[in-house]
Amino acid sequence: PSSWTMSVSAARAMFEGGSASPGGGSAGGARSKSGDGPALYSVLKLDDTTKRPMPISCFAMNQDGSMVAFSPNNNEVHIAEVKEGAFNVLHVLSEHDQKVTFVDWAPKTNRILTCSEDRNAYVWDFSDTWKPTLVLLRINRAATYAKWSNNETKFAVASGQKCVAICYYEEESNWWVSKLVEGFESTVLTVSWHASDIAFAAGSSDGTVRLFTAAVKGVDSKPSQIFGPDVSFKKMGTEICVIQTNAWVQDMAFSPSSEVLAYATHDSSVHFLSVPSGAAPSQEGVQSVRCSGLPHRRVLFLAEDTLVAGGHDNNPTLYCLRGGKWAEGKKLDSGTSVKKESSASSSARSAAFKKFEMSSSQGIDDKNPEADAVLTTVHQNAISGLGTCAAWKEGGRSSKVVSVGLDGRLCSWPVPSLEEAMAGLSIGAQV
Amino acid sequence: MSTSQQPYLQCVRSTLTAALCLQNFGCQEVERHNKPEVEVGKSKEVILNPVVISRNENEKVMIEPSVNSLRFSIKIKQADELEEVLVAKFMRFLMQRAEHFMVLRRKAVPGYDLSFLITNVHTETMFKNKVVDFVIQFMEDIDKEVSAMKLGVNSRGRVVAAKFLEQFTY
Repeated sequence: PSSWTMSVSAARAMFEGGSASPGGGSAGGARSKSGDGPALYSVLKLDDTTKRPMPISCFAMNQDGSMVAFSPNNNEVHIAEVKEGAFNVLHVLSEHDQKVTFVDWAPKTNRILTCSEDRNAYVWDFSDTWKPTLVLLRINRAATYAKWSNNETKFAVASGQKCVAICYYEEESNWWVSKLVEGFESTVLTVSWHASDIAFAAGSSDGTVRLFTAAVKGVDSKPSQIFGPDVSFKKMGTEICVIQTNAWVQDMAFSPSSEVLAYATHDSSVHFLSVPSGAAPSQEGVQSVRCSGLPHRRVLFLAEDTLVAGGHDNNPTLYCLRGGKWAEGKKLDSGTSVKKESSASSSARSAAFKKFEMSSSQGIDDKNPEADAVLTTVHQNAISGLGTCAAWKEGGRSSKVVSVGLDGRLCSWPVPSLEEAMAGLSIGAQV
Repeated sequence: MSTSQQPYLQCVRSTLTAALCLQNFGCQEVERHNKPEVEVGKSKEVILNPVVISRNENEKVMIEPSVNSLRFSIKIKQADELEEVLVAKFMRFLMQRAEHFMVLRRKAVPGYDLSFLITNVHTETMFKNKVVDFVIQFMEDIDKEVSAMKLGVNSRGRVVAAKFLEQFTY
């Protein structure tokens, strides 16, 4: 079928005499119909047999945005370098047996952390090639999420065993050991580190967000009472607070100063918890913002007052803080960049070719011409990863953000200024 | 495409689009497994409330969502015994060929005539809006096919009876 479609489109190109868009190569780009301009998106990996883009389940960037690590929804992790907008896969890391669920790149120490459904996590160091070090996680269910701490001496791995494993490097045994933090009632879906690295927040499918202490003797210096005198950091993994939500917590992130913890839940809302210094956070400190569309899957702070969230809407959306209140701002994809082919100018023969090609490969027929397979957003399927890097930060604000989706596409978006993002906001968009 | 059916189908379409926000979820009961949670049924917190959309007491649709899978069951309008037999045979024909449909379930949920099982693997490889279009189109076509089959049964019965009774005429 795929070779037939390509021959039809080649035949169409002969008749139309216009520029056909080839699919080939391991990483193609797409340009908008109006001619030259930056590519709208890049396809990271094509499946070897069907030549269709493979969904990207997770992705991470290095410090200067020159390399990306991603998993094409299987047990491999691909490292690709970015050169003038094209992606060349340099290394394939295939130590895992089952699907890789998360990849995180520690920017300063240049180490990659991967975790997978096969209950394992590996830390990869680069010296000519990427060499894996097994992490002794001691979990007996899938690992779902993994994050390096801000100082990159520890990391947290969330798992289906309803716990989080805090791992640190033990010099005597020469490998990474873990301490399990219990307390959840269901699979832990996401973890985020506090700026101090001695506390972290985790969200789960039991609908709660919990903060725990994570000060490890020998790795962290003596912790101060950042949450007030009631919270003691003596024992690792003590629960600081529990925040209830109505739905599964999909992703969370601490703001750069860790004053705010943002988390997206499956009931199509984004919540902002204020984390003041000197007291434990409480349910009253939560501001909830209702999303205008389907639930978000990933969130990322671009600045202290701007958050980008992407998910099942296929459209990265900004959330901005104005006058002490968070509200939904602009969507980065305006829906106008994907141009539909105009059939008026083509000849009768190519229209006939197109009709049969469309109905067989994409399920469009005459009865319902406006039901198009191609969506108006650049992403054709849910967004599964958002990333920015230190090199794109100017004065504490990220100027560019990259999104990857289950359609296999990677798109980079310029971040508008705060005024542009807030323009057209309606009052009262809050729960 | 009857216009009275449109609000019903529109409601089913928007509910399906919302319920099809699926994601990969490793099984928390059995290690290294990945099962459709709506079928396993053991972890109650990852299964959402089932929604029943009914047009009248004979025609309804049940959507059972969960974190990584969705079960969509249809009860088709069957006015009399002949339609009941026709629908049963037609559904049996389709369900025996379930792997060709990819999203069809081999057995219908009790109380319904046909069930679909859509998992996160399907939403990752197929356009979500086209899957919803397919299901809605299916619901429309089923009613038309059943009425066409019923007319066909009646007309064939008439032709067969006429031919048989011809031999008794003089």
